[in-house]
Amino acid sequence: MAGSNSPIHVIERDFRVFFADRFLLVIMFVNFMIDLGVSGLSLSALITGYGNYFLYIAPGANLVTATVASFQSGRDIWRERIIHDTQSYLLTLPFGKSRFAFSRLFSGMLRTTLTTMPGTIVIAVLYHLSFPLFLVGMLIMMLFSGAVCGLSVVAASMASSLELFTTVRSTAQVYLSFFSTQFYPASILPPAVSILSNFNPMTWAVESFRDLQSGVVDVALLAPLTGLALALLFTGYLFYRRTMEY
Amino acid sequence: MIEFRDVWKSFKNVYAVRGVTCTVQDKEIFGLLGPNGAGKTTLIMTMATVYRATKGDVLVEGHNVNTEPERVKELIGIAFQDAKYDRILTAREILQWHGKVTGIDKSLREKRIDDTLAKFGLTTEARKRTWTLSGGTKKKIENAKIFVQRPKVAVFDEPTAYLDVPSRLMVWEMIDELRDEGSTVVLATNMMDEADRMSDRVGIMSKGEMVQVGPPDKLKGTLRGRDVIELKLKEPMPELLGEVTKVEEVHDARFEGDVLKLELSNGRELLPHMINVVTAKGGQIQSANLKEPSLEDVFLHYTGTKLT
Repeated sequence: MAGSNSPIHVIERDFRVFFADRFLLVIMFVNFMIDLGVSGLSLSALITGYGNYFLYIAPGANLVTATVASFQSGRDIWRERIIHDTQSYLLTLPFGKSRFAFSRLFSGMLRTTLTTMPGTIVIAVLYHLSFPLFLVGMLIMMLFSGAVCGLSVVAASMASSLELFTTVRSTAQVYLSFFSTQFYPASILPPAVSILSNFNPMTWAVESFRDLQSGVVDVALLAPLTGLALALLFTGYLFYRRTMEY
Repeated sequence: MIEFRDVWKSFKNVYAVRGVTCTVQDKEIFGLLGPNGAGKTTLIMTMATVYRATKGDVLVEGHNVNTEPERVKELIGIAFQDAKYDRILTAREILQWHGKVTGIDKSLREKRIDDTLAKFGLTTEARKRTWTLSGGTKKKIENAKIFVQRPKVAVFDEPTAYLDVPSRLMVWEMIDELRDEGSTVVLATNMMDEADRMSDRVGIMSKGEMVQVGPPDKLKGTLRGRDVIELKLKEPMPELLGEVTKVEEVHDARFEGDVLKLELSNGRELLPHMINVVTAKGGQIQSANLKEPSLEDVFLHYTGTKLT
């Protein structure tokens, strides 16, 4: 009996696994709201002279949630490889290995985009975005998620222990958050950090999102974000694909 | 049909499979017998396209696993030794997804899932997340994937490990049904009784090599002359040894306490005759026991090691 090698089935499985734990999703949204509500409102009371800081920090809070959700893709793959050895089962199913690997990365990007959609909607409402600009906002979230998913799959393909994987994740989170303009404008960052922030996908994503408030779609920021997302997704594919060769 | 043609597989210069050549015929149950580390799982994974053979070819229904892996994967289904599925999902979700991916229509899929779960007595537990279930139940779900899929080539790796006796019998019956429907079954096991009872033919693996292939009875027949008759007498009678060794088929005779042990060919046929010889000389037999070679003896003979 011929099997079905549709990537849809791979994506369906990833979604089932991810959404099986609804508590996790609720926590992610709650974390986003706490980050936005408590940090955003508290800091906006402290920081003046840079406009509404609450609105300034909002996209960053959502992108942090995206980072956490994206690394879940890598964690799933790491578990399949190292803990449960589910990978050998998956490789016996009627999928081509390349198609399977691409599908995993795509589903990781997609499910993060959906996970953060409530946050994106909240920000879209706060920013009074039109529907087309909301869609651009979704695109920004998807590109950023793709980049982080790619990175997380690279880490999952290389890490031999959960400690190593989580350390890579923490390091990536620190780099994305503190060496970018997620919290502060580049003009008030230390000079070295300010330079580094120009090469940080968080900066590209968060600034693109902020620009939407003014009705601007900044292609100069979206272009490198797209390039990096594609490059990291492809790198993730290469590393993941390599783990399938025995 | 599955053909293994001089298959070698190494991991970092350590060979797990060494030059295996054999054929599994259509619609037969082929028992792959060997201790842990013999290379059974590696051979199966090579057949399933997961591992790439270092040398040699595997053909499944005429399709080479190296050049047509996707075609091969459409034909096979593997129930692994340890449960390999997403434990956060329920059994029903796991079986539904497996059936869907392997191309089973929805109505047929649901019917097979219901039937299989009912046979295993898992209808209620199928709603629970599988990480909460016992080892035996997890194993049943692993097997259930293949009973739902019903592939052309079904592979079971230690299918009754962790199972209680009734469940074991159920699995054996279901594997038989699968074969009767036309599936070719490869049954990797280190349980002699399972291999003996289930297999049309057995392949004995040891240290990566396929050391012997044949029907269990035929393999046992290769140890002809190794039957043992044990006659427990009221008291030892050493003078009987001369009498019994006059029978041409008797290779060796000795007393172990009051038990007269005879090693001979055709023990089943000669048992009445040997009783007559002993009683004619005044021997008072209290019990008689015939031991014929088991698959375990065959395994020991060809590999030089015990299976367990």
